[in-house]
Amino acid sequence: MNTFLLLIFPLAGFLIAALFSAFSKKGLVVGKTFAFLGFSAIVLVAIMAKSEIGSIIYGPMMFGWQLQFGLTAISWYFALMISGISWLTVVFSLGALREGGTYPMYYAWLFAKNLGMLGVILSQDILAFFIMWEFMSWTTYFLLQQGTKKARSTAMGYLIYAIIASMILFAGIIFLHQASGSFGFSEIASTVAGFDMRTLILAAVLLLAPMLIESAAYPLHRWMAPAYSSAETGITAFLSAISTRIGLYGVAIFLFTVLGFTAMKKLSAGHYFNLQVVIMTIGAFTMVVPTFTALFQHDAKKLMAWHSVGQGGYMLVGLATATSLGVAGGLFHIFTYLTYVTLILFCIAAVEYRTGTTNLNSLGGLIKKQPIAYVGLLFGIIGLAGIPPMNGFVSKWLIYRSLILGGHPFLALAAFIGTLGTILSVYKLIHNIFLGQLPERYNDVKEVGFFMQLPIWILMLVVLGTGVFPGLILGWVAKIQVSLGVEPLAVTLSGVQASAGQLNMNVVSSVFGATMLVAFIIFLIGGRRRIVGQYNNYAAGHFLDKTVKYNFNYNFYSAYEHIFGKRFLNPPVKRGEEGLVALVERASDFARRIYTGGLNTYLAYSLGAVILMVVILKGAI
Amino acid sequence: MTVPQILYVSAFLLILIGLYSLLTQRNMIRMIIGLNIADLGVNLFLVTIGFVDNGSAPIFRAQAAAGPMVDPVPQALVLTSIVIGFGVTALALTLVMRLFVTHGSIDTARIRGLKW
Amino acid sequence: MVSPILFIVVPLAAAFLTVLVNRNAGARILALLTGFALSALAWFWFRADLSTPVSVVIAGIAPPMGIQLSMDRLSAALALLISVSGFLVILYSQSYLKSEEAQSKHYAVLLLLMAASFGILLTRDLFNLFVFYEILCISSYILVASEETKASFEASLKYLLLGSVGSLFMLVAIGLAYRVSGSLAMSDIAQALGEADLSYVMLTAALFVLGMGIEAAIFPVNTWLPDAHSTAPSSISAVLSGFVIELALIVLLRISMTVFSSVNLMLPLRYMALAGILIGELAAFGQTELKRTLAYSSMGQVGLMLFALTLGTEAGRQAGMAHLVMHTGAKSILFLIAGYFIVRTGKRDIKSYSGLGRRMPLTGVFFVIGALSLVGVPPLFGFFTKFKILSAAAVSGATGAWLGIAVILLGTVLEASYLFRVVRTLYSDPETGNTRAVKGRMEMDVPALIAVFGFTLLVIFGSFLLPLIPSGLAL
Repeated sequence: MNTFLLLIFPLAGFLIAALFSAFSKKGLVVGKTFAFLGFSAIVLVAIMAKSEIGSIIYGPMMFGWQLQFGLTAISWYFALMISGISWLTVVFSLGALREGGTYPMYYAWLFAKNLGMLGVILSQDILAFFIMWEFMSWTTYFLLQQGTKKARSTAMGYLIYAIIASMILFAGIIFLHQASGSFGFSEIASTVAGFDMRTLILAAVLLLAPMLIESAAYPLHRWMAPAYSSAETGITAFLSAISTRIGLYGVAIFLFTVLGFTAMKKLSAGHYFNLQVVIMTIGAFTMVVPTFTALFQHDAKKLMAWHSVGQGGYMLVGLATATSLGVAGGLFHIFTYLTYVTLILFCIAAVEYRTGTTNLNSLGGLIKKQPIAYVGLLFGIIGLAGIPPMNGFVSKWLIYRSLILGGHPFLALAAFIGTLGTILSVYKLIHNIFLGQLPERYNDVKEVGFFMQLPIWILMLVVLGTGVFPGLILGWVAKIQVSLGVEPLAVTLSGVQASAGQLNMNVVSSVFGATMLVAFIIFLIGGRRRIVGQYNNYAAGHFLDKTVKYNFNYNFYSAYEHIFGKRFLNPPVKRGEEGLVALVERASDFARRIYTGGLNTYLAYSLGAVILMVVILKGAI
Repeated sequence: MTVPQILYVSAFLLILIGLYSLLTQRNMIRMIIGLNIADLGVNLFLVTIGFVDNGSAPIFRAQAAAGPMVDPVPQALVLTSIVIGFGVTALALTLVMRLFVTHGSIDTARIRGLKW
Repeated sequence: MVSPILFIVVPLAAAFLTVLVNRNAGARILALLTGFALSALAWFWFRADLSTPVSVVIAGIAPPMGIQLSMDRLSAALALLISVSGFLVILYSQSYLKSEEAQSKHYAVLLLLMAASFGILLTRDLFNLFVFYEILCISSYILVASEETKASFEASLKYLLLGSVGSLFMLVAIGLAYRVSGSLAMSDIAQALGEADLSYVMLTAALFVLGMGIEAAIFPVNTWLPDAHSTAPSSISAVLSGFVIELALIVLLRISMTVFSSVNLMLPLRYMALAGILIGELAAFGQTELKRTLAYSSMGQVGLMLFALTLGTEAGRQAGMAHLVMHTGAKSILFLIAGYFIVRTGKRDIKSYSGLGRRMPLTGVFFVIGALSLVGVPPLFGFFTKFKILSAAAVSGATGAWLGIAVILLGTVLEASYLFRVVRTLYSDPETGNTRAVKGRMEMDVPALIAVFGFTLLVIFGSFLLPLIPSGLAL
């Protein structure tokens, strides 16, 4: 029943909100209240649905097949994340959306997007999966449009990638249905086990390629950062946190359930094709390249959007190891990244709400004006950089450990390089927003209101809490591993007790906390401090007054950018993308020029067609 | 050569001439004339199908005609086809007239406002 | 029982009456009533038990001398589609046509076109088919030219010359067929051609298929389509793209599968279909005018139907028929709305429509639904038909089936990108000076809204009709 409600509530919410926004121009308050109640109900239903794991409900008949929906361990995990993040986004938007904004269908599409995502994770056969997948892609497109002026063209870029993904998946489903005569996961798995190598590769590519596009894996990642960053900031948080990860859900399901371990082993033993190596290489590139692209962004939202691409690489690599540690790391990293990216973007949104910009070159020195946003951002970037005691440390630790133990030194190196890039760029983020010189125009900036603060507080608590007690989440991750057929991780409340590695976050955090305490004491009793005004400053022997900008706030890392920037801001992938577009345009031009407008030519076509047809008919015998 | 053979060959030649002028002429009026020539060839072809050597006209009389009758069906077809051809030609010429007013030309190479 | 001949007699009589009435108001009402009566008639036949086809012979002379009309399930379903969409288009024309025009002639020709469509569908006599086909073509030429603009004359004349060459081919084919069979009834010809020399049948089939294929817009002979469909009045574009080419396609397929069954026409037709999809969608991708984009898209969609119909399986035919019904709905929506875009802005370029979606909210929603269905997004009708086509292709084992699946999916990507480029423009911020009025709503007029809403219902709930769509292509 709750599983059913999990689909019905968002559907009803979508229809009601859409009708409401169609007939009422004002009444944002009503819309907000309705959305708040609706998403609270969805969260409650999602929590209560835990008791229904394993049961199946049947949807409508389609093409002679009864659609199946149901909860599994992994889909409950995702359902909680989806509904939880949506709820937080809605609470945040209670404060963040202003009357008279240009978002008439904001809540309607948010409900619809929830329906799509919940539908995908609840579906228990590939037909239902595909239908909900398409629905999800299209609602994302419409949701992305609810943003800035630029949003419409970047949403178009997303749409083209998404529809290519959909069509590949479409081909895969047609192919698997033809081969197995069924849409069910288990029937397909047993058919796939009997495939020869070539067919198996085809099936794997058709199923996994769309998932990799959706999870923005290198080199299919270029749609994501521009599309997400030009959406409304609350939506950017929501999308970066969970939307793309549905692709990773698909990777997990298709790898472990639909293709299955037998097929995976077969695919990873080939001489000329090794699936695991391919996915891991993709993951490695995804960890490094987008992270360094993020480094050179001058817009906070864009910077975070590029990190969303980059962090996906860690999750992908973790899943692809197919080991106990790696899969746990990958699945847990989905959760941890979700918490701190939402936290960071909410803090950025809080700054944007007051200052009206997310441009890192024009912000600065807001630490005293918006202290809560500052602390929130600090918690978030510590998590993102993978430093204890935040939860990001645990998930990254699991992934590193699995890579080192699995004998993938180059991947581990890539992961470390990626983390280095992350640390560099999050430093830029916090420095350029909160540290340094406060521009005069922000002198009367205030902290944001209760509804915008509440999600920040909650997320800070979660980031720290699941960092100190990772077992809260890892316990469930272990259950997912059982249901996927991976060896489960031995988990305690405070960390990991596996033979492959041991981690006690209570100890780690205590040591970390104690060190911080000592440092603080040294800071208190240490040398003389003198507090000066922010314009009491000099550089190269010259005093800097308020007309001169504190130089580090402007074009941070400009030297790096000068050296490396070209490679990351105009990469071969971008040129390849442009080349493909040019190719399609040229093909289109060629096709158009068949229709010359000359009547004689057209008549010649008709006559030629008759002759050609006779020739073909003759030849066909 | 028998009579039907001669007729078939000339029908074929007429169609070819018509198609040739449709393909090569750029003057719309000439193209329409070409169409008419081809139409003529087709009509001749249809009539020839019903041709019976020494056949009499297929007219229903009180007493049966002596000897074979030619097949009346193709003749009916040709009549219909001629009427249709007339209608189409009339419409085509009207359109050419209007085209000459709007475009100032009846050269197909110049009437290429709609392309690509 | 009502005779199926009423389908031809009623619109024909109404067409002449309309000319006699020669008043705008009278003609409008008469046309509307006729459309409604035909829909009711078609509904009756659609609900009737047609497990054995109902035949009538005209004037009481038995075939091969007399002319036989036959109503089977396929014809009944298509008749319903034609009459309902004809009715909706007439409803749309009530507000779309400008009142000072000679409306009675317009409606008369439209009704003539409908009569000819029913005739093509019902007749089982090859020469009678030719006559109805000519009436259909001539009324199409007239309707295409009826806006009397520079472009429409050009399009109409090109259409006319190509169509005439097509009917020339057809007539030669009919002559060749008559020469061996001595009859014009399709069943007799089918029998005679089955025993005839194969090369002879091939020539006949090629001439017939490509002659009729001109009206059905099969790939290399569809050159007239983008011009004619984009310059015709939008109500007529909806009719031409909505059912005329599809009807020609179905009749063509029926004849190739029954009369010319001894040669394998399906193979070349399938490859022509694939070429049509690819060329049509690619060409549509590069267009700047909305109606021309839609016209090229129709070429691609016809290819899609033809591909499904030529797979040679029951499932393929059913999928093709279903897609036909879907395309009638979706393309009519898009063309009818495009007509009002032109009326409201006076321009044909897509870029002049910026911001129109906000100023015409309902219209905008209908447009998006039509586009989504054409692309094939669940839960709309288009998804079901596309899925059925692809799965039919996968299981058919026909040559080129997998190539076809790849081409169709590629075409879908192109289709989505150009249709949603339009949607993006519709919802972008209007450029000042680009649209006539800067403020206020400019929704379509009520009759047009109702008509478009009718097609939208078909596109949304069409999937429930799937079990009712017949697939038999027998004589």
